[in-house]
This record gives sequence, C-alpha cells and structure tokens, in this order.
Amino acid sequence: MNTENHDTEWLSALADDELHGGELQRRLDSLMRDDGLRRRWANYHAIREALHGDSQLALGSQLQQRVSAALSNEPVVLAPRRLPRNWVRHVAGLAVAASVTGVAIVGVQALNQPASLPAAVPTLASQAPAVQAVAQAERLPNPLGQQVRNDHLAPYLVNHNEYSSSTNMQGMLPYVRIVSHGPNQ
Amino acid sequence: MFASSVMDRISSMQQLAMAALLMMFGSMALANTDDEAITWLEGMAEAAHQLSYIGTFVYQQGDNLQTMRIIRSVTDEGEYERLVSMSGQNREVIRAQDKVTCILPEDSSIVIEQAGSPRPFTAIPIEHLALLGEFYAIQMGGRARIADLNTRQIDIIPRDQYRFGQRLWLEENSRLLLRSEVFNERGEVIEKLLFTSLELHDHIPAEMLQPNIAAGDQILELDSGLMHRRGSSHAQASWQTSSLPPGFQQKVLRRHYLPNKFSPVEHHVYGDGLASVSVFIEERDDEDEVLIGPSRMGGINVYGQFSHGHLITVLGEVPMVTVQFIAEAMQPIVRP
Repeated sequence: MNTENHDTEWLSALADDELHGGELQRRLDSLMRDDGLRRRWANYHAIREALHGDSQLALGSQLQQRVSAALSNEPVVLAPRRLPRNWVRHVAGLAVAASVTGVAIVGVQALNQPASLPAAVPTLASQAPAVQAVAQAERLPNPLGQQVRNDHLAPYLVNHNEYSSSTNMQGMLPYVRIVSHGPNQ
Repeated sequence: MFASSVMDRISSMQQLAMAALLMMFGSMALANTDDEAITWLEGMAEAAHQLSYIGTFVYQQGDNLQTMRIIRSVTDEGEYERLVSMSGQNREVIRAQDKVTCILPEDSSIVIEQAGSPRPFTAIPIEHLALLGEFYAIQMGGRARIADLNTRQIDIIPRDQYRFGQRLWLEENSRLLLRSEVFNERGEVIEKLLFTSLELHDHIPAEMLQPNIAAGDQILELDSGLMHRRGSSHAQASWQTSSLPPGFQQKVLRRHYLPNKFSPVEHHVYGDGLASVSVFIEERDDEDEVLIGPSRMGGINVYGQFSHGHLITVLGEVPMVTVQFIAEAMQPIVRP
C-alpha cells in the first residue's frame, strides 16, 4: 500500500472517530506536523459536507473538541505560513459521517487535479511588473497584498458586485467573497 | 505623477511581461477568439438570470476551502437569490429585487443595501463580447463531467498583465457555470469553484429563500423612507482619471450612501467588457479602520490611498497592478 492510501485510511478512521489512545495521539501529532495532511483533512471534510449538505452533524462531537483542543495547544506548529486558523474552522464545522469516503476522495482529486494549461514559468514570472510595482509600495510583507477580513469591505463589495460585469455574467457567484469565511474568522 | 511612475515601470517591463505570458500560454495567447466560445459566454449570462435552481459547490481560495449552497428563483415578480455558507458559522447574502442583505454573524452585522434604481443587475450589457478579442483570447476547451452533468470548457486568456484569466466549465444544455478557475498574471490559480450538485427547478419554495437568522441575532434594517430619500443618484463627477490601463473605459458614475455612513461616496466603475474595477471616493480626515495600500479578498484585489482629504478605495477582479494604476490616476476635478 502506498503512503497516500495509507494516509487516507487513517484520516478516514480519525474522521469516523474510530481511533483511540496512543494511536489517536500519534495521528494527531502527524496531522499537526504536516501541512499537506492538514489540507487533505480539511478538504476531506469540506467535500463530505458538500455531499451531505449538513454541517450540524458533528457540532459538539467529542472528536471535534479533542482535535480543536489538541491544535490549540500547539501554537508554534499551527502558525506555519498563512491562514492556519482556517483549518481549525474547518474542523469546528466538520460533518463526521461515514460511508462516503470513496466519493469524498474522488471529489478532492477532481478539485485538485492539475490545470490543463501549462503552469507559470518561475524565472520570468518572478519579474512580472505587477509584482515589482506592488512591492515598491513596501507597506505590507506580502507583495501581492494581505488577505483581509471581508466584513470591513462588504458594503464596497456589494456595490461593486451590483454594477460589475461579473455579476451580469455569473449571477450571484461573485458574492462567494462575502459569504466566504475570511482569515481570522 | 504617481500614475506616470507606475506607467513608466510598466512600459519598461511590458516586453518582458508579454514574453512571460507567451511562454505561459504558448501559442494560445496569439490565437484568435473563437465565435463559438463567445456564444457560450452569452448563454452563460442568460442562464445566470433566467433559471431557477438549487446547487451546492465548493469554493477554494488559497488554503481556504468552503462549502456553499446557492438557491435561485425566478418568478414573474423578479429574481430572488440566496447564497449561504455551509461550514463554520452561518454567513449569507440574499438578493431580492433591488435589495441585497448580507448576514455576517461574526460582527453581529447585517448589511442591507439598496442597489438603486433602475435595477442594475442587467444594467451593464454584455457589451460587444466579440470585441474582447483585443484583450483576451477566448476559446473552446474540452469536455468534462461535473456533478453528474456534461460540460464544455471555455478558456479566457488575457493578452496582457492588466487582467486575470479564467477557465469556465458550462453545462452543455443550460450553459450554467459549474466550475471555474481564476488565474493571476503569473498563471497561478487563485480561486476555484466547483459544483458538487445542481438541480434545476420550475418552482422554489419561498421558505428556502428566507435567511437563517438565530434567535439572538439583531437585524438592523435601515429606515426605508430614509433609504429612499438618500438612495443613490447619478451625479456630476468630482473626480476623474488621468489615464486608464489599456481597454478600460468608464461604465458607471453614481453618488451613493453606504449603510451607516452619513456622507455619500462617489462610485465609478471602469471595465474592459469582462473585468470590472470600482473606485469609491469618500471624504475622510481620520485613518480609523481604513485599508491603505494593497490588500485582497480572494480574487478581488484592493488598493486604498488618501488624496486631497479623501479616501480612495479601488477594487476589482483584476491584478494588483491594475487597481493600483487606477488608484494613483484618480484626480479631483477643479472647476472654476
């Protein structure tokens, strides 16, 4: 069995609240060490929710409390680069439901499959004028602009959406940026 | 002055940027826009306003992935839509006729916006989609099965660094959008949306369009009379741009009262036919809770700055260089 399948198996067991004692602790530890695993875990639950349409199932479950507690005791590990707290949010709202594992993983793969167009060329791309122009501002550590809480900008964004051609073309979908839980939410 | 310095930087980098774009997209950036693809885009816009449906989708932006449900109803009275988060705390936006209600419980805030008259949802025509060819290559892509439905892929590839690219997957019969990816000037995907289910309905029960408000939530509805009097109006511009990125033109000018603000903002919209950029100009002398410099919300880039005692906030689904360009080009109009 390759590593990925093996990971899928225990992630699934963890989600179904089937791990206990030393095994549970060991899996939580590896989950906290590995960004990739954490993303898979979060994606996994988002897809499950999508399939089940019910995020209430696991609210207050023992699993959610244990995982959240374990994570909140590990501030160093939890602040790797960006948006680490979003993951905690996913866990807080996760739906623990068995029997959809196969479909859920297929869903995640569909979303993460490689783009059909060629990827960026790193060397040339890193000199793109947009990056330089913005870096010149030197106001924020992230040259592409800091991701901000969306509530502050909601009135602007509503007015923008109502007069933008994206809304004309895609209906209400541009409002995902308001409904989305931003960072630190 | 600021605008021209950005302009100089951009001009000097232009050739390099185009080389990068050509390498990123290969021969596609040179390719012609495909008439069939334009027809599909028109179909998408029509479907977005004419069909009633219930759909569930996953929205991914960076490491953040969330599930949302969209419910849309078209009746003789008009269009009603509701977009609601299905993970974490309840957040939702409801659009009914010309009113937009945002329920954002983290701040206990409920924003209710009257979009103004005439109803602007279709106020901007999908103007001359065929003319977009100067700034984008728009082409048919392959077929894919999404949420158990057959789709066709449409590629929208920018020809310069002032706009984002998109890949769209449209359902073959209805032409509804079932999957989308937005990619930045470096070809990196910055936002993804993927439907996991979609059901078309002739009739949507009214209760499905009601907000999900908890017993303790406070609803702050602005006084409708006041709203009506203040409303928004077409006004004489007090500001203008000294220059614009290629292909962008002014589409809208209005003066509007934002919720809970006592002086109006001047709102300009600039667009290239596909992407739109909004400029909000308001009189401000304090710097409390304002965003200065670059920031972003998913695929929306924001650039804020103070100028002549006014706060200028520029935002749109375009690269940072475009919003910054426009922010720095805004100038007050001096009348004798």
